[in-house]
Amino acid sequence: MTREPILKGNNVSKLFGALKAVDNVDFTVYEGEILGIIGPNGAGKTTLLSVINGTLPISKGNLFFRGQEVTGLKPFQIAQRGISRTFQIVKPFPGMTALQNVAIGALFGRHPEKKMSRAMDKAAKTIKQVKLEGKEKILVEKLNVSERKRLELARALTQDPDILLLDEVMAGLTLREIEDIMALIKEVNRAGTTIMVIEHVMKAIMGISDRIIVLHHGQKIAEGPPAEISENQQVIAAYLGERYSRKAEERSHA
Amino acid sequence: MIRFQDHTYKILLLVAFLLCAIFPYVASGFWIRLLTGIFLYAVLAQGLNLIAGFTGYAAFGNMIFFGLGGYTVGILMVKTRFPFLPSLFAAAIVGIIVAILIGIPLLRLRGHYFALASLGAAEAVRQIMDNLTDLCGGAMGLTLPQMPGTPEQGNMAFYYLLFALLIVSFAATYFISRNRLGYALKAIKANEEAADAMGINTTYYKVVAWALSGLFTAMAGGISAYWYTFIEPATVFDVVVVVKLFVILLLGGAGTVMGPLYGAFIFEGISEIVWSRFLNLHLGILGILVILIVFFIPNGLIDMARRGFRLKTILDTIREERV
Repeated sequence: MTREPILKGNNVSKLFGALKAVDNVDFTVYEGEILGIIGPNGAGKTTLLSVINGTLPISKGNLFFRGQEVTGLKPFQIAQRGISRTFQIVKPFPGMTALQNVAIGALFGRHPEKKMSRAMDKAAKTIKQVKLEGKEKILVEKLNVSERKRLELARALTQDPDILLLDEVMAGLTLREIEDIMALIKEVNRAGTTIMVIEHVMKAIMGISDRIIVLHHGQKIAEGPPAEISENQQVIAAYLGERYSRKAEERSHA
Repeated sequence: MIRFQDHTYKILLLVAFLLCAIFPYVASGFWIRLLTGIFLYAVLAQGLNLIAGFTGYAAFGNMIFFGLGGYTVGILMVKTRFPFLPSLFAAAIVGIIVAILIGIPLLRLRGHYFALASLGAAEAVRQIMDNLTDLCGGAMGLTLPQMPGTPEQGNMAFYYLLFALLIVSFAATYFISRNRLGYALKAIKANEEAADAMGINTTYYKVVAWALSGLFTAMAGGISAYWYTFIEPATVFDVVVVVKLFVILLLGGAGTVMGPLYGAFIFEGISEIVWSRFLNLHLGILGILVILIVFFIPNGLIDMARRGFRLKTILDTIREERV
């Protein structure tokens, strides 16, 4: 099946002084896929996501969304075009309930709800979708880590994004919680949302991704399907390690 | 628990409204003037609340609008013989326009940088006014005409003018807090980066908040100038007034609809009853009050009322705020 490119980055670079956090990375995200991004800490994964959504201004290169250049747009403009994100360190809006937090996603973004009641209804539905029902009226500061991660996901989902950028949504979660989030991500993807996901939990990212990009020292060192990536010697040396590679081999023989 | 939508609370508010409405007919001049002053501070605090309490931008330069509102009314009434109400309308427009013009560049700054820049802007406007001798009397100030009628009638007129402005500003804030604008402002205050990523045009909403703040503050300045029949840069651009407004906000509850009113009542009550006997210690007591509020009731009295006035609650709040 040939898929249309939805997001494209040409020679994307982000410099912090002399440090090249993202260094001439080319990438294409195809409509309907789940694209995983992996790499060691400091590889430039989160920086790449922040450059895509405009949180960090791009230093060099170009970004195209559905064929239109979106380089240099502000984060709110990117969100209004249909690219939503979550943050590695969750950023809820304290002083507001879970429902109000998620309603903000519905009130702004690509299809902003003009009526508060409709935004609240949509938020309530999304809260149910991420399995946070019963927590609607609780102040976000009272939620635990897992619930905050779900809340952040819900807030992005209420925007009906074309692309969802997920930054380590599974970090700090239990195995059971990770499985739940994996199922949720797949469900969202099946419903038509393209997903770009950064994750350190290898089992999860290998399990859900259609393709994977590997970053190391800001550069793309590999790209391909999970099975191919797990056998790539450069990726093993830079990130996965021999132990992961052996385990993956054992799993494939089992 | 006190909540705006609670039935009893609504009845209490209605009773308070009716009492305020008939107050000038049953009280003496001193009490009318005291309550008028409280209304003035409550409106100014509500103006500040929109940008500082809801949006999280410590606008130490908010006196710009108070001063310019006063000068607009003063200049129009003295130099062009304009009647008061059209002059007040012009003051409101000036407040909005100036807030937009200085807000577009300044509101791109965050935190302390914005606070300092807004303070600098207020100082710059004060200096300009100091030097505009022909137009507004410079440092000597400008004397406005007295309101026609007896002093008692004048007292009543200013009381009702500020009472009306108080109602309008609080009603506006109530509706704002429950619509898209209010949600955008709260999100910006909570986490501007996340708000931006959610599709909120943060600069636009911050400028709107400051324009509304400018509107109410300039109108209050216009009424105040006509009430005192005198206006001078040193008084209307005085940063101590903004500090007082912050104390009022902190006391009542920043980012709440009714906080500025409760804060103004308590603060002005204390000011009138206690401070008038300790004129030399006025600023010292103000400083101590700020420290006590920030330390013991950092989220204001409304939050404290919601949690219950107990020692344990106060200690819990202190602990939470330190985390």
